[in-house]
Amino acid sequence: MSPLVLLALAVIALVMLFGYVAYRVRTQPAARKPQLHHPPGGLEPPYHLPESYGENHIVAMAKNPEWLYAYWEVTPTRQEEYSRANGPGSWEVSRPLLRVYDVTGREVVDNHALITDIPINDFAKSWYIHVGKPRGVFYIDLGRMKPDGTFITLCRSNKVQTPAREVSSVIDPEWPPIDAVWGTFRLGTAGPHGFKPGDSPSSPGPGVSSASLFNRKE
Amino acid sequence: MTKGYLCLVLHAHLPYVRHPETKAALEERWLYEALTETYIPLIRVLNGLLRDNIDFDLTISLSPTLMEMLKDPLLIERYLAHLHKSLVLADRELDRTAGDPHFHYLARVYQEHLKGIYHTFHVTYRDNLLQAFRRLMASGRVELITCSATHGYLPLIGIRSEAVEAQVALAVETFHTHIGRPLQGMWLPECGYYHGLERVLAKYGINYFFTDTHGLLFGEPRPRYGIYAPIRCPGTQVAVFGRDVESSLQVWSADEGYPGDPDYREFYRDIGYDLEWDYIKDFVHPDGFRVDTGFKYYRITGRRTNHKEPYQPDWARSKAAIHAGNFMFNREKQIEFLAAHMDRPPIVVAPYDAELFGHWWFEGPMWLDFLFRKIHFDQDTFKTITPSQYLKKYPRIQPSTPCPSSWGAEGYNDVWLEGSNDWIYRHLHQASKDLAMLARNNPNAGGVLREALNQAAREVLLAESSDWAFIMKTGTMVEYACRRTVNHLGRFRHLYTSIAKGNIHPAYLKDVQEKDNIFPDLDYRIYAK
Repeated sequence: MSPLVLLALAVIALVMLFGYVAYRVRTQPAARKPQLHHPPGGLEPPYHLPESYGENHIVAMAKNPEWLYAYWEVTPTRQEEYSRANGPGSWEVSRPLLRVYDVTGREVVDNHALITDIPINDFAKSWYIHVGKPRGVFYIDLGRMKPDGTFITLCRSNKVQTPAREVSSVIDPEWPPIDAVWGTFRLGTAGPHGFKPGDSPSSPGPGVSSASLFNRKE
Repeated sequence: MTKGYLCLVLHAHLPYVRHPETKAALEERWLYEALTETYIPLIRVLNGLLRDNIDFDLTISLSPTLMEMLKDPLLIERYLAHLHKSLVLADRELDRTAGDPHFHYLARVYQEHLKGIYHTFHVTYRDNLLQAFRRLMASGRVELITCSATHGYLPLIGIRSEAVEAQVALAVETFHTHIGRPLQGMWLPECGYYHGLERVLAKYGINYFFTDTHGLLFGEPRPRYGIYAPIRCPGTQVAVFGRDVESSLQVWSADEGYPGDPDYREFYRDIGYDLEWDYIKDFVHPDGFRVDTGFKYYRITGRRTNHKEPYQPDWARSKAAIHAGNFMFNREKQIEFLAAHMDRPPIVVAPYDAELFGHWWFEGPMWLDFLFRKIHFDQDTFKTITPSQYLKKYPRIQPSTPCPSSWGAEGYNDVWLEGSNDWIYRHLHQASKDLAMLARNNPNAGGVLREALNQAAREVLLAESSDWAFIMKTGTMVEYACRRTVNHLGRFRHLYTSIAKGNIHPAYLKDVQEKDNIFPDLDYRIYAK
C-alpha cells in the first residue's frame, strides 16, 4: 500500500473519529447543567436589591445558644450629624464598635449590664457575635469609639434572647419531673444514645429537612 | 388495655413552584414527583384503611402553598400532561424489556402503579386532590392542619411581628377556604419556635403546635413528663407537643433507619440517567438534560457499594411489613415502660416530612399501611390519636414555656441563618416594615391601588418561604433560590415605589399577578393588624 493511500485512510479514520466524538458529545448531554435561572421576562426589569434603605438601625437575631447575628445600616445624614456634634473629622478618627449589653435577668440596659466591646470595620454591614451564654438576654449598640475612649451610640438593637442548651433547673412543685421518664433521654450522655439537640434527623440527609425534593446527588 | 398513644404526623409541603413564563420549569417537577410518589399513594393507602374499617388516627399538615398548587388549573393541566408522558414511557418500557422477564415484570409494576395514580387523580377525584383530603378529614380519622402561609421560618422573620401575624392569619384563612373547617393546630415550619409566637397563634384560635424534642425538654419549668405529654404556653391555652427521639431515629437515622434496607428500592438508579440518550430524550427535560423519570429498577443492595441488584417488589413488601412490626413492637415496649411510671397515658409524637414517604422511601406508604393495620389487629397496648383528640381527653396540662428551637441541624436557627443566606433578612424585614406602613396608610384602598397592595403582599410572602434559605444552605439549586428571593423582593420594591408615587402601571401589575397568582382572596390589610 502506497504511503498516499495510507495517509488518505488515516485522514478518513480521523474524520470518522471526529464525527463520532462530535455526535456523542451532541447526543449525550448528561453532563449539561440544568439552566435554573428563569429571568422574569415579560414587562419586568431585571431586579437588584437596594444596597441601603435609608434607615438608622441595628437588628439582632439569635443563631443558637452561643451566637448572635446583627445587621445594620447608618445613613450619611446620621454620619454628618455625628461629625457636626463631635467636630470636623471626628467620624474619621473614631472607630466603629459593637457594644453588647448582657441584661440577662434585668431586661433593661442600665449601669449593671455586662458589656463586651467588639471592634468592627467601616465596611462591615453585619457581624456574628459569640456571646457563649444560653438563656441570655442582650442588646447591641452600634457606635463609635472616640480617641479619648468615649463611646457614642448611633443606634440600639432590639432585645435578643439566646435559647437554652440544657434542661431548666426551675421545677414547678405541682408538676415535679418523673425521674424514670427523664432517665430515658440519657441527657448529657456522650455517644449515640444520649440526647443532643439536632441529633435526630428529620430526613435521611445529614440532619436536614424538606431536602428530598430539592436534592439529587449527582 | 390501652396504656398510651401514638400520634403520627405527616407534614406535606412544597414551595410555590409555578412558572407560567416557561413551558418546562424543572422545579415544577418537584410537585409532579411528590403527587405521583407521595400524595396520591398516601391517599390510596388511607382510603384502603377506611374501606377496611381499620381504626387509625393520623394528622396531616398541608402547607398553604401546596393547597394553592393543588387547585391551580395550569399546574393540574401540566401534571396531567406529565402523567400521560409517564404512561407512554411505561408502554415503551414494556417493549424495551420484552426480552428480560424480570425487568419486564418491573416495567409492568410501574405501569400498573401509574395507571392507579392516574385513576385516583383524574377519575376518582376529578383532578382535585383537596377533595380527597376533605373526605379524609370528614371520616374523622384524619386531622388536617396547616403551617404558616408560605412556610416562612417564623423565628427569623419574627423580628417583624406583622410578618408573623400575616403568615398565621393567611394560613388560617387559606385552610378554611380549602378545607372548610376551622384550623385546630399549626405545624411550625421546620418546627421553628420562638418566645411569644404562642400569643399570635392564640389570637387566631390555634390550639396546639409541635416542637422538636428539646423544645419541650429544655422548657421552663421543666416538664413533668418530658416529651410524653404536651405542655401549655403560660398565659394562653395553646398546647405544645414534642417530637419523640426514638421513633424519629428508627425511621430516618442514616445508620439505624428502615429506608436504607438493602431490599428497598434504590432512589439513585433511574432510567432517566441510566439509559441511552436517544431512547430517553423525549422523557427527560426538553432543554436536553437528564432528570428522574420515576422508573427505578434496582434495590439498594448494599450501603457502600455501587453494584446494584434488580429490585424485587415482593422482598421489599415483606421488609416493609417486618419494619412496621418492628416499629409497633418498639412503641409497645416504650409505651408500656412510660405508662408504668406516669400518672396519665403517655403520648408518643412522631412527625415526619410527608414527601419522604414514597419519594425517597418508595415503600414508605406501604409501611404506613402495614403499621396502621398491625396496630389495629395485633396489639392493644396503644392506640393512635390526633392532638385534638388527646387534648379533649386530657385537658389538664402543665404550664411551661417551650425552648426556642427547630428540627434543623444543630436544633436552632443555624440552618436558616449562616453565611450563605444571612443576606436575605435585612431585605425581608424591610419589606414587611414597608408593606405594613403601606397597609396602614391605605386602610380602604380600592381599584388598581388595592390590587397593587394585594400583589405587594403576595410578593413579600413568597419571598419569605423558608425553602429559599434552606436551598442556599444545602448548595443545590442555589441560583434558583437566590433568583426567587430577588425576584419576589424586586417585584415588591417595584410595586412599593409605584404605589408610593401613585403611578401604578396596570400592565406590569397584570404581568406579575399572572406569574405569582397565589392566594387570590388575599387582603393586604392582614399587614395592618
